[in-house]
Amino acid sequence: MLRPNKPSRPSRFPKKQYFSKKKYCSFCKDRIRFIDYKKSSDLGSYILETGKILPARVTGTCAYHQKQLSKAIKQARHMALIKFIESRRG
Amino acid sequence: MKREYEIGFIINPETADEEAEKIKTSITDILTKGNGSIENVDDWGRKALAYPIEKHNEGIYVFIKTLSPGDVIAAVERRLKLNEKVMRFIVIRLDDKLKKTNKLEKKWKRIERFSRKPESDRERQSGRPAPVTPKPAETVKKEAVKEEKVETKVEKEVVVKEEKVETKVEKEAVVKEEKVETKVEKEAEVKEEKVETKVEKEVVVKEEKVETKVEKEAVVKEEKVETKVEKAEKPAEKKEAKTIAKKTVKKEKKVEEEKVKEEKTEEEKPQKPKKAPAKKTTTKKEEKTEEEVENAETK
Repeated sequence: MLRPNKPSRPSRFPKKQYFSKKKYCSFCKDRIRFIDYKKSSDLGSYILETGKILPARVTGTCAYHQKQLSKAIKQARHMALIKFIESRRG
Repeated sequence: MKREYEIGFIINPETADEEAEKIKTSITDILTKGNGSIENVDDWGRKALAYPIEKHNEGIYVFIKTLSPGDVIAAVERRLKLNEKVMRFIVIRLDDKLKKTNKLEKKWKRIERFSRKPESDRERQSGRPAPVTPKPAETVKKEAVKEEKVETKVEKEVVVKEEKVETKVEKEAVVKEEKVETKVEKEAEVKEEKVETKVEKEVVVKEEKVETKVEKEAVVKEEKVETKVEKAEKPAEKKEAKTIAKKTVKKEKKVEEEKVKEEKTEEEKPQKPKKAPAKKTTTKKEEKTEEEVENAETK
């Protein structure tokens, strides 16, 4: 429920405010129409070291490209261009 | 109905290159027979795999782009499945992705409309004032310095010019008159009256010297105007008075001029050295006249 406008109390534990650069979809910036799974070097920046796909809220990719990205990464994994899991110990 | 597909497959590395080519040609034959057209064939050759497949760390990668009906693609998939030397295969439809790009372009246009203005604002905020602000500070300083310099220069120039003009006017007015008069008189009349003038000068000078100089200065100033007027009107008639007046006037003027010249030479030499020799000549002439007068006095 939304409260009416009350004078807000200074909270005992105020939220920490973090400032960062505004994220943007790099695929939209470069005008990429569809993401090719063959270019594994481009996909590398959207994967964790362990091989996990990074979420869009971290990378800032738009929904359309994130959908394509996840698909492309999975296809690249299938074609042995990217590892499924990369053990941290190496 | 033809659609754009991309078929990719990895061949077992233990197979020979000829056999790998046979597999490739068999697939292309199926596509061409079924009314399909091959647009592009990518042969990556043997490439290291990201992870071992069937205990093999290498694989022969082949990618084929085709425009073909879906029935033929199904036949190709069947063939790839049955072939034991093909480790992995993938079939992707590129058609639907290209359709969606129309939506993307619309979105990008929308983004452009919103994104252009803030970018320009950012450039204005970040880019433009930064170069603008530092420049004027430097330029203003320079301008201020220049203005100061100019002011000082102007002041100096004005002062110097005023002095120059005054002195020049005095000099030119006096010296030229004197020179012209003296030269004309000397050249015209000295030849005939050398002896007389010398004698007269000597006599007059001695008489004046005996008299106090204070009287000279007091009297001469009054005489100047009179003598000048007389000179202008009747230069030839009153030689004695002129000679007296000239000498007295010259002495005073020389003293004054020398003082002024000393001041001038100090001020003007660095700025305008060209005028110095002209003055020197005048001074030399006057010095000569002084020497003559002294010689006359000694005699």
